[in-house]
Amino acid sequence: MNELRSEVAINRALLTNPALDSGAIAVRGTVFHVFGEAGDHDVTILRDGRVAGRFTVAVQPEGAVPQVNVDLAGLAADADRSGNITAQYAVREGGVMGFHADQGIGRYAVVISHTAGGGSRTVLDSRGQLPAGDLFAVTLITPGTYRATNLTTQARLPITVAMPGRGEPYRPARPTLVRAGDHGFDPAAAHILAGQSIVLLAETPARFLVEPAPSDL
Amino acid sequence: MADLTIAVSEAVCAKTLEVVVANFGFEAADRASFGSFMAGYDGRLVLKGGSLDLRDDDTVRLRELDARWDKLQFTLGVAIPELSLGGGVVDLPSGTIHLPGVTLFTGDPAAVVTVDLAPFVKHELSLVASPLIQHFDPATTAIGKHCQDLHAALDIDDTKPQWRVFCDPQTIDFDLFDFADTVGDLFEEAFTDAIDKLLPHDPLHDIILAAIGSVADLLRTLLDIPDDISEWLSDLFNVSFGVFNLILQFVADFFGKCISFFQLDDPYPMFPKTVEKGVELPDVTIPLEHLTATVSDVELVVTADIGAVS
Repeated sequence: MNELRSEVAINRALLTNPALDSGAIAVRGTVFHVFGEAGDHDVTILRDGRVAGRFTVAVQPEGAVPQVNVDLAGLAADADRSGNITAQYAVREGGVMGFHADQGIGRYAVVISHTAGGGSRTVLDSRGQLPAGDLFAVTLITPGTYRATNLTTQARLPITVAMPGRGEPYRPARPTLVRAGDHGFDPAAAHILAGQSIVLLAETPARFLVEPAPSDL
Repeated sequence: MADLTIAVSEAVCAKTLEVVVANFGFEAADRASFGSFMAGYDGRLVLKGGSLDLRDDDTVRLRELDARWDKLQFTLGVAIPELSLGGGVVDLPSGTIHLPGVTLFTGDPAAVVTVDLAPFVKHELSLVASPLIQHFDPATTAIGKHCQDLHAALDIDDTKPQWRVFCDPQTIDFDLFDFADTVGDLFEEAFTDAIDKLLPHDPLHDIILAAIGSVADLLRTLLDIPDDISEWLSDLFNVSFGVFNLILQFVADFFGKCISFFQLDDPYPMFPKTVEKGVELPDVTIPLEHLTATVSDVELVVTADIGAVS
């Protein structure tokens, strides 16, 4: 800070409360992909349907970090004209890459292909279903009731978001895990405080949509 | 035995003190970075009241002058740390997942607050001084701009040589900055208001405050201070900015080098130029040498020898 000034810009995306879709990653939503196989993986980032960046992740049996989080908004800004990103990523086999957007109004999708033996196999296309083992985390800020839907099974999860009580201990960084399988969500309902996160674990392939409940729209 | 003796009564010296005090004005401003925050001040200190005692130990004692700030604007700029909602960790059988938080602010957010602390701090100044005689030569004696301005205001003639008698401070007693607890409260309130205005006025406002704990807690964290903000402020002025030492130095220079209590032209004009019966008689001046100044409990006595008259 070199000079005295007063300047605080709120992350504008926090002031709106749109539906959060695992197929269209936006601020407050994160898709986590678990890399189950070693080898190079080509990652394509799509912004509003257009390629915004490409990079490769080296998945190594050992020696690499267990998790990397990628800010898609920042990453897309760093891509060259052909969409290539110079950053190198390496993740341990069984490790996780989290895809989120820190700010802005862009909606992103991630396509990951495992390249081996001269061939290529898509292991994630977030526009469709998340494979079993992947996760979708959402941070809900506006108090009220929400509904999470697994569009694959049409299972629904009611979520209640309450204001933190005055004087009560409050930690935003305390996420709640909910499992989504063939028989619906477990637990069947979730209660969090505003500003906390719900993490939906796809135990079977799933597409998640989290939106304000109709009565709160 | 001296050729010339001038005695100045205590009452006259006291009147002189009134004039001197009326023209005392310490002005200072500074700004500095202290890592996570930046602070600055802009102040003007004036003197009022006080009394003068001449003492038979050859000292002049100025007592209980009220030192008040015309203004003491204190500005604090704090870089707001990265705050986020969400985030945290989830433990799965396969390992731990770290959720990225959603950042609240973009850019390089900072909050600035300025409060006028003038009404809340006062000092008292006393000093013991000894008479100090200095010869002023316009051609060779350096004199600062501030003193030049004061001399102009007080009709002290800096164009001719003079003997000047200063009250040179031997000890200066000046109160340290000591802000009352109410100042800490005031400052905290001003800062809270400033932060409050920066936040959106919707549910996010209360959530941010809940995440922070309180603006007061945030302030203490950012400034790395314990509970007592007023004590922190006092230390900032006394030590970090060194305003206390600046004032002491200014007082020493003001009384010991800048404003003389008494001055004699050198050469001293004994008789002005006159015209008698159409004949112009030139003025008569005498050089003064070997000046001394002594103080008794009733008067300041200046003696001098008359040098060779040309």
